[in-house]
Amino acid sequence: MTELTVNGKSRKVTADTDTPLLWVLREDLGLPGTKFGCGVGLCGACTVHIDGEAVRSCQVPLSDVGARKVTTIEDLGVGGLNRVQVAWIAEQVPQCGYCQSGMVMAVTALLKNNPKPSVTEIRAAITNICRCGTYPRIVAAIAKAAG
Amino acid sequence: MDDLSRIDRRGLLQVLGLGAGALVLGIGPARAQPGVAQSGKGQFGAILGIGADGSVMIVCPASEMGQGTQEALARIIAEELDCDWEKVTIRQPWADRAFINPAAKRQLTANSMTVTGYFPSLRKLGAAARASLVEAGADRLGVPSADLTTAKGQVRHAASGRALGYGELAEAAAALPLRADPPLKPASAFALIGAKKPRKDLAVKVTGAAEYGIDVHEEGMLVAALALAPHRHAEVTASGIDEARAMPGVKTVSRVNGGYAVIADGYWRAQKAAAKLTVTASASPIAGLDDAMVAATIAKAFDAVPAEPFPNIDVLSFPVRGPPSDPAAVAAALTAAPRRLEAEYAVPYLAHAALEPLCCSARFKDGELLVRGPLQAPEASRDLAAAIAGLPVDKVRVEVTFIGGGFGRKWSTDFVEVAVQAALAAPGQIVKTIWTREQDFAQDEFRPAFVARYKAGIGTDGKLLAMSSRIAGQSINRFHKRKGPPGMGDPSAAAMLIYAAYDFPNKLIEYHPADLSIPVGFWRSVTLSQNAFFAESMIDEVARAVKADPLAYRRAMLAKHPRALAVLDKVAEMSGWTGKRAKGKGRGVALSYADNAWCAQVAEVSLSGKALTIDRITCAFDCGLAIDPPSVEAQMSGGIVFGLQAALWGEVHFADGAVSSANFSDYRMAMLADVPRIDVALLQGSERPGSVGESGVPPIAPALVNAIADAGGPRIRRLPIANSLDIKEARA
Repeated sequence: MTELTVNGKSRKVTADTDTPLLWVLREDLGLPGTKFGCGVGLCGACTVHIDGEAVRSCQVPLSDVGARKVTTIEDLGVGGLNRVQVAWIAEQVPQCGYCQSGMVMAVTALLKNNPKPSVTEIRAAITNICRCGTYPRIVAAIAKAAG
Repeated sequence: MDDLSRIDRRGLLQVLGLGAGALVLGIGPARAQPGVAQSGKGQFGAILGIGADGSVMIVCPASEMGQGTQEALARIIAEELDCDWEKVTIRQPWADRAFINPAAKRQLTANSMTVTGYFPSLRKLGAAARASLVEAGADRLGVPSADLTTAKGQVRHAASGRALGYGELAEAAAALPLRADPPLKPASAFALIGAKKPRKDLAVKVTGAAEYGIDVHEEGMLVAALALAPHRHAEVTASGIDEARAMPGVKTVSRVNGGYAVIADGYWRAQKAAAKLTVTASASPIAGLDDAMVAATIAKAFDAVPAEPFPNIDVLSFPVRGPPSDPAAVAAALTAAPRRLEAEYAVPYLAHAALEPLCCSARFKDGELLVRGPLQAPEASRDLAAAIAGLPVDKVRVEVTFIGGGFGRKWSTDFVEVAVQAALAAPGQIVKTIWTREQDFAQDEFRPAFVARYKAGIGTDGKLLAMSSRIAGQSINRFHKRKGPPGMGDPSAAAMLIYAAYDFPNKLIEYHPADLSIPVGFWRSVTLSQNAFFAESMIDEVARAVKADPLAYRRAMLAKHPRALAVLDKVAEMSGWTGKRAKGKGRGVALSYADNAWCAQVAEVSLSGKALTIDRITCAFDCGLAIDPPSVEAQMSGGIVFGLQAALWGEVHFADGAVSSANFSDYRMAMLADVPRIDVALLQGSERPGSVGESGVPPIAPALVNAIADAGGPRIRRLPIANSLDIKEARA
């Protein structure tokens, strides 16, 4: 039994401790918004926040989570969409949408740490893969969310 | 989804007033198995229901994979229905003949033919339901139908100021027969069609709530991981099966096509157990294959495999009109031409690499089979699943989830077959089979590699007198044992190798199928994914050889196609085509066309030595009537990025009889920093909708290589460009 804090709640899971956090969220905690894309930390579809930082959850074994606070996409919209989600809809970013949970998590973390990122900073920070090619609208939506 | 109320077919038919067949094509009642969500009283065929509260439920008959098909099809119905758009909800389809694409006669979402195929019948559905509501309203109010109008989900009687909501009338209206030829709105009255407003599916896609194939979930469900041979048709054995079976959480290990499924109580446990298996393949159709053998086999096909006749057809001339090409006459014209130009081009195998890896769920229980997944071909999936399970089709239910990227890959059904095989090995609960990213690459059905050899004959005035092109590569039809059109080579290889749109004489296309057994399939834009690169590179080379402006040279051959001229002129204006180029800067143009759709793109690049920077991409696109313009625009810019990735980096490698491109680490994807500013302009040259989903992809590769040549760089005739140049971040 492992205890972890997800979306503000303490949760207990029986998953093997080497299970990547991604699969604990998806299968043990019923939070499938975090997506599996590559399993090697390259695509960013599995991005969550751990203590507020964007982290690729396929690379974090359950045993490494400890007391740190995990936040998933399911928690962002609670009590009203955040400004990144609002901008994502206004700019009509998603196509298939599969990568967008990770994108929204990555951009939310970026703007928290750096409210007015430059293009260079955005390019360095947002390395998630979108196969539909929504990048032009992602850039526009980040600008809108940054105000 | 599986607990929805079931509909009694006879009862439904009574409610609908429908006899033996539907009155309007494509809107017949659903088969009496899965439930249409019963929001209330009135059901108008399988697709449209109106609740007593005025809510409107539309089952989108096509699969949503990001192209915006749900929004587009629902808008078409709602436009004619005059309902309140805010009260419309859209749900995913299941496999059902009631949902067939009237153009394809099958339920599938592919080939950029969803909006074009469903548009006429869904308009009629909306209009027929509206007419029934008006009739029911007239009856209720005791006034003639002609005195009533509709708006925002109400039937209104202006003279008395009375109005009835659709919800109040739904039950009575649904009992009336649907009219086969209801009056349709004039395009000038369209308010939803053409509106620039956000799609309905965006909210669930920014909150993680959208259900994709990989998200299928049920208490007590199982997950299958795979251990696979390099080729699905190989014979396999495995060691480590007992060890895998003994791993925690593992239920069983079973044979599936090309390998084994390890079925456990969760993904990670299934994966860990699958890793215990060592699969040994024999009789693999690609045993020993490597990149050099692939290249040699394709090259050899030019001489060793007789050319299959290929009539000079493309979307502009299908079905074939006029006499077939005359090889002797084309050869004579080439010989007689005062000037000749020859060039050979090549493109590699390409992966689909949808971000949602292959996955599919199935449950075999009590003699019935449920399949749920990200399916572009639900009907074919149902037929296949029934055959594998040995069940009649009416005992098989196939439900479509959101698709996390399809691009043609999820039109195939090989992954459905494996998932059903796994489910049959563990009856009683849902088994979700998930391919790893590495397996998604290794088991792809690739866009085949091709080599094309062109000969052009040019007059003293610079005009084309003749052009022949021979193409060699694998046939997709042949791999899938599908019969192609009679009397010609595989159109997915050879069509549009020379555009029919360009007005010059003596064209000849020949196809030499290469004897390779690599799994191949349809990749977004199919034929044009290779042939737009070949054709539009060659035209550019000819134009530059005769010192003509490449855009003007194309224009001069397109007088019969005003819409082609319009997109070329628009993209010229957007890109500042005629402006001076600074040293090291280049602009390249390319054109492509599909069913009722014309696309021109200009790439602007900077070249410094071998360092390539993409500065900007402009695109002018005419798909006729755009139902949802922001989604059309997104398909164009997204298609450009999709094509850009292939042009710059896309290349699947083979070594030792297997795919050696394993993950995104060796199949470079386009990232945010790789994409320059993309400007898209939409033109409307037709009242009908045209093909959208694939149209943005083809022109970007030729536009890029043409721009590189324009910048003083090398003429790149082999993709990907990264093998020739050093690609830098795009201009911000």
